[in-house]
Amino acid sequence: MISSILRDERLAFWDRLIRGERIEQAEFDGLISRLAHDASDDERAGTVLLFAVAQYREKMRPSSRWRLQAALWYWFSQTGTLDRPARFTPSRLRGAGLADLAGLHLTWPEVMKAQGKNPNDYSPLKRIEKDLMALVEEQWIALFGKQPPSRQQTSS
Amino acid sequence: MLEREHAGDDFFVRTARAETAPRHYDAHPAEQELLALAGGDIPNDRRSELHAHLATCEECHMRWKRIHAYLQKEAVALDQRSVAPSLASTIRKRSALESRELPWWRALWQPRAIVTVASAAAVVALTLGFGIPALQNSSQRTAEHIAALSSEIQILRNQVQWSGMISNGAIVPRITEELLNRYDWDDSITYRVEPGDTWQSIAEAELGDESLWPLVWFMNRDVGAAGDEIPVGTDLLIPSDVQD
Repeated sequence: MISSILRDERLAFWDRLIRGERIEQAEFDGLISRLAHDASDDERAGTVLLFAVAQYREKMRPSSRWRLQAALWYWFSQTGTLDRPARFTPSRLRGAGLADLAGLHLTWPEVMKAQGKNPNDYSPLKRIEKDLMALVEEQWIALFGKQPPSRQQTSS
Repeated sequence: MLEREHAGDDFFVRTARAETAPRHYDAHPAEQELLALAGGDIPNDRRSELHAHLATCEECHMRWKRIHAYLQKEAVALDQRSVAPSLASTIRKRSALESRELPWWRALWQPRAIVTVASAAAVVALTLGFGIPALQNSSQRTAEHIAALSSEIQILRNQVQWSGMISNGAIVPRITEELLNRYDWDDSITYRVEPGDTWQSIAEAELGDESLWPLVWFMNRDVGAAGDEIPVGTDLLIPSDVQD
């Protein structure tokens, strides 16, 4: 029950990040203190990644933040059952929230097109994933005292 | 060929999927709240809470998609219904209608024809009534009458020419799209007519361009014909400046 409530809170934070809004570090305090010691790896991953994304956003120059938003659009559009309008246009992503992205299953070129960038440029996604992975590992160790279990799966 | 797409085993996509995995809720947002959310009329905190619910409640996500689709359909329909013809297109249509050939009995009742016929009748009347007797008088009186006749004819000719300015297209084609776009013809302000005002002076004073007077008259054609004096105190509609 508590894990569901915590997940809802995390999702509300994700929605704000997807919209490009800022989240103060202090707003996360409740999430950490209530995260159970026996929380699942998925819960831990969700929490740590959320912290890492919020932290990463603060490090980025305002003119570069579109890259993070594009990555979030991309990852969260892969959720839910595929359900996109017959006449889907990337411009409709402006102002999109978490529920708007679910089920769209966007390709990276579609996301880049929606941001008005070169559709075939994968470098922003690669760079963000690399930087975030390093942050996730750092915070995972700081919080749980060991390497994230997904490390082996995400290495390539 | 795409360089790379995630197959679903990626940490980020996998985490996003785990975070949004469907779950059971005992309570669901009301239809009104979803409508307010779609309209952007909801506080940001509540907006994000609702999105969290919608992303993990399959039933509500379907409702959300339906509401979105419905609103978009309505927005398109509303757009189509609310497209009113612009003043410029109305004028073009009117101009086209007026330039069509009319049956002779209807053409007789056109203002231009009336003035033409009246001027011809006046010439005949003046000729019969004053011209012939004048010939019987002194040569001086004859000369005076001829001068008077010439003057009358000139006035009538001017009237004929002037009355045709609106419908014969002599002025309207000078009004360009660029000129029209300077003003919002659907958003008008009121101008109260003062002594000595003419359509030209009002267009010059209010729009900064005398040549726009036919459009100002057209907007207020209920006031009277283009050649009539505008009653003092009449409230006229004037297009507002686009930059206002």
